[in-house]
Amino acid sequence: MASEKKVVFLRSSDGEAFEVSEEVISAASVTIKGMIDEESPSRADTAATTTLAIPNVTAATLSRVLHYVNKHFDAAAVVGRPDDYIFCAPGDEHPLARFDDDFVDVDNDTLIDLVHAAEYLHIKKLFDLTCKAVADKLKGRTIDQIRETFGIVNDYTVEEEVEVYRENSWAF
Amino acid sequence: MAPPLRCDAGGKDFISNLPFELLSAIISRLDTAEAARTAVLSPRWRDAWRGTPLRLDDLELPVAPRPSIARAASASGAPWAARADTVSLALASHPGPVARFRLARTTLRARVPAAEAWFHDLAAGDRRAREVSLVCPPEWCHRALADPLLTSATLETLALGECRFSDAGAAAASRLTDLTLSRTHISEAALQSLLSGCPALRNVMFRHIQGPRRIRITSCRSLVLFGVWQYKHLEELTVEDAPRLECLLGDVHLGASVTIIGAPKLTALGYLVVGFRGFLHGIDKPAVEEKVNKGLRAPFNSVKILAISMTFSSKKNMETLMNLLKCFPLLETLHIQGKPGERQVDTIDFGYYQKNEPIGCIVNHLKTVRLESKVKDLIIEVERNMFEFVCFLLANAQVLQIMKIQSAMSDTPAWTTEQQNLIQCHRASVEAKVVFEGLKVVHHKGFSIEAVNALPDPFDSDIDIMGY
Repeated sequence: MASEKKVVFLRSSDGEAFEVSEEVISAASVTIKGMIDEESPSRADTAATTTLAIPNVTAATLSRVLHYVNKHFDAAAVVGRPDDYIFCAPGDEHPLARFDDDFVDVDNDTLIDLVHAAEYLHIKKLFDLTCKAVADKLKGRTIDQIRETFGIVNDYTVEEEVEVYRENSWAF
Repeated sequence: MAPPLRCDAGGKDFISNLPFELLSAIISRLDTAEAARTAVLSPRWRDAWRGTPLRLDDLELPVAPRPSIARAASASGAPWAARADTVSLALASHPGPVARFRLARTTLRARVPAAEAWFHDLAAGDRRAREVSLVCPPEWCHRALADPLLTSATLETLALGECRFSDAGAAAASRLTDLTLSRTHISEAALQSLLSGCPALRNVMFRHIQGPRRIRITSCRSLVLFGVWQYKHLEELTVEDAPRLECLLGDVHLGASVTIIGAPKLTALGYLVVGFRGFLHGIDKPAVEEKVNKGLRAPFNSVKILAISMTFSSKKNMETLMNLLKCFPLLETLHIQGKPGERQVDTIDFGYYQKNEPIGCIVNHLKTVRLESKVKDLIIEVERNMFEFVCFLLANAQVLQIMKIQSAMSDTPAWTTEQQNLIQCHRASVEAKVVFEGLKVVHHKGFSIEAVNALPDPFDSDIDIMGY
């Protein structure tokens, strides 16, 4: 086995580089695992550390994502199996449930950025978590409140709006 | 992938600018009504909602149907149909596909034609429904004709109450894995056609289906769980060539002719119901007892868990039980539910068991016994017979670890002490512990295919398998 842990650097869209364990990020992100696998033949010859460009994710978002990834996918840091918390009954809270709640307790822009990043990096658990968090922000609000919260522009014509409201009136 | 669009100048509506798949991923995490309401936000949201497979769950619809819908239903003379009308409107507002269609509090009363139209629609190509579950009280289904659902090429889960199937329909639900029929009307021929037309069936539950007196499961090669609650209405149960079957549950009366062949993975079986014949009306089949073990004679080496419901009142019943136990040579866990017996009670004591040959599974393999008696005022002789049986097990089971006695009487200390004294007999296993406890708490609600499959032993759980 390798004597020391391999690391990779991820460079954000705005040029900042972040160090992360290759093993951890490969377990978390399908996209980055793919990049590393592609790189590996050429890496065998050189001792240089790999730097991967992540053109769609800013430094602010990437650092959040890596915080999440290190919490959830670093076997040394995780209590219990990383995947079993979805099977927990309500009440017996997974040790990371609290972390997850705090993690998505951010402003809307940041949350949407995280949804994008999770999708691009293909981190399923993070994608589920962030989409659920956006959905939760829509819950229990009136149409006007949702528009206001997310700054959604209503570009229906009056007739169109009446029509779609009539069609879906069963849901109100 | 293109970087996210931003309208930093002026607008900040970048949630609407999310790619369709992402909007759809968010909408799919909302409940039925909340998701549908987002369509009103803007044309882009409407398109995203329409592009997201519909999950229609009536528990996620407004608790009170919309006043305009309720008024129209009242005006039609059927105020109770407002929920069904809401469902019709919901289906009509979405182009499909349908990921889930689940009704738990909608009656089809006065809306049977509409419901039949749903079934037709849900089976159609543009709906491609994956789940149709009618989990309301069965009688709320009002015998709606459900034939079209069996022709769906996409349906994976189907649960129906008191609907009906005609003989004409040919089943071809090639992806159907989970099937629950409760009081559904179906002929024997149609049932056989259903079973042979759905090769992917993994979990099948029949609860008091109306019509068939014979159920034959032959060559259901994907079947893992089979539940059958037909009780006295069942004359024949045949399971043949079910290579993956692990669990056969229900209230299978041994007055029926039971045949199980070619189920090499069958691990859990029960309840098999012994006795009661004289008790039930409407059964006039003589020579019951000869039939009992016809199909159960072969040794079932795979069965580790067996559940039996019986009365300890007659030697005939005891004989049946003993013969049954011989069919399961590697049995490890035995559940017995003691029922109140007939008036006439035979004495079955130490002497009776002495005349019997030792039974292999009891001597060598039986580790756990759970004896359950729900009756408070059990006839004293029946109770004595029951505890003689307990003594017999304790005296013979060499690897027994635990004997649990769950009784309605356990809250009476005098009774417990008396029984404890009764079973101060020889114990073949030094490790054997005898525990007296109250009746287990039963939650019918938890009973679903998933719930059963998640249990290591369905009989020792909070599910009442016998009373389901």
